[in-house]
Amino acid sequence: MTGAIVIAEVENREKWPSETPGSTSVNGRTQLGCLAGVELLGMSVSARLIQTLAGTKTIADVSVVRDRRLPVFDLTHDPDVVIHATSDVWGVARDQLRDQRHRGLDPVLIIRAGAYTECDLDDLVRFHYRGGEAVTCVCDDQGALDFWVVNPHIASGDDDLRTMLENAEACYRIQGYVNRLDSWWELRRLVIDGLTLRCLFWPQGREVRPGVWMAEGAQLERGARIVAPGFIGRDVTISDQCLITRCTNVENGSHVDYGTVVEDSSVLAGTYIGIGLDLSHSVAHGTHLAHLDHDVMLEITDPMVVRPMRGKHWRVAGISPPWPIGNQRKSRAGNRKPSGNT
Amino acid sequence: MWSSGPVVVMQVPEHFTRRKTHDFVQELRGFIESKRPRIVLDCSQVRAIDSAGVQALLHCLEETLKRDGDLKLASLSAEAEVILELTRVARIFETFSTSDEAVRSFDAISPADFPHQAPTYRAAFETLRALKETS
Repeated sequence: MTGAIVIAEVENREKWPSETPGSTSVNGRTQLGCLAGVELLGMSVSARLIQTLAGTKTIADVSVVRDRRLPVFDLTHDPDVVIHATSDVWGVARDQLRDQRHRGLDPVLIIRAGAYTECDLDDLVRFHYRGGEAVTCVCDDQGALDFWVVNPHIASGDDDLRTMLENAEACYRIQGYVNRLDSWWELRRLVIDGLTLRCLFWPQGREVRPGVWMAEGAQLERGARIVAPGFIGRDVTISDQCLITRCTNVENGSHVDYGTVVEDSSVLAGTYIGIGLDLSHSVAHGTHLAHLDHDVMLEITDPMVVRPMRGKHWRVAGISPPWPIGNQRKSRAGNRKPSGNT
Repeated sequence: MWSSGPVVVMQVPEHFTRRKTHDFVQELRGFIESKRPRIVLDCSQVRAIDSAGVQALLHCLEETLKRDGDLKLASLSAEAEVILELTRVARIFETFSTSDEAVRSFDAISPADFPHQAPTYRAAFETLRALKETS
């Protein structure tokens, strides 16, 4: 039987919107582990990966090693999947590899959450056995992906796991769909490919009419119109006279207010889009807007235009909220007048 | 700010937000209230505009048009362009890639420069009326 270890880490993290005041270019590669944690078409890439691994019959055990610094997000609802939150991601991953070796699992898949890949796991494992190497790396046309097959008996447990993986000699060329998800363009491409069914990144919802998916609790007010293909996530409100068109996805808990047109854009979870706007070719996230045509990332401080919705949706999106939750609670409590007789 | 003949070119501040709009509009007011004002706003430095900034731009345009003048935008930064598109305001303004181009655009003959003369279709209406009367 095969084992699997999924690593979600923040290493090489480039500036994430909540850390970038003013505007920056969106041209840079976006942090690896973060976009994989962002909910897209109802579920994040990381969650889909874990779900796929947990649902594969030949995989007996799935361990998730999550960097403690990553915001908490829903990786999985599968009770059999154990999530280890740690600051030493690679150390814990090495321990998990040893543990899976002791339990007789061979080979072990090690995947760093980041790229979205569709891979024939049986073919990959066969290729790994035929090669006889300790580590086989999965590659696509652009080079190595953070996806390895490890023979835990041959691989020395004392070596640095990361170095061992990076020195893999065998390379398996992936045949299926790959999206490295390292930029906002890639994120949009994945959404478009998912909505147009070019890959297996299917929307998590009910197809209410051809090409239009709506998740539970989504509210579409009278006069709002969705042009296929499109996705409306859980507890989303689309107000009157809105138009959602050209492969747009509005994720969990967002609100598109009266008369706004959203075209070829992604509204990430927990985002409010104001009244009478024209949002096109963009990714909106809380107070931030990445415009892909103009190649610019804006921080919009005007809450009438865009703002984060308060609530649990930020956690689900896998992105840190731009406000310090703890401090805000404290300040509210501090301002509260003392109750009772004085 | 510099003046180019009858056309006034003014730099929009980097952060064109609620705090800056009042001073900006006050500074521009003298030019707006002149006869047929011709104003070019250079937006090359703009990094952030909020709804107050957008409102200020619209106010200036409205006041300029009231006085038979025009207000044009030039050298829009990507940030300014995104916000103006997002708020559906971009289509209202005439925009140019450089301030010089915007200034030169005022030199083109405007409808106001034409002498008032009788419309050319008056004769056609008179012929039509005559035809109706005879029928």
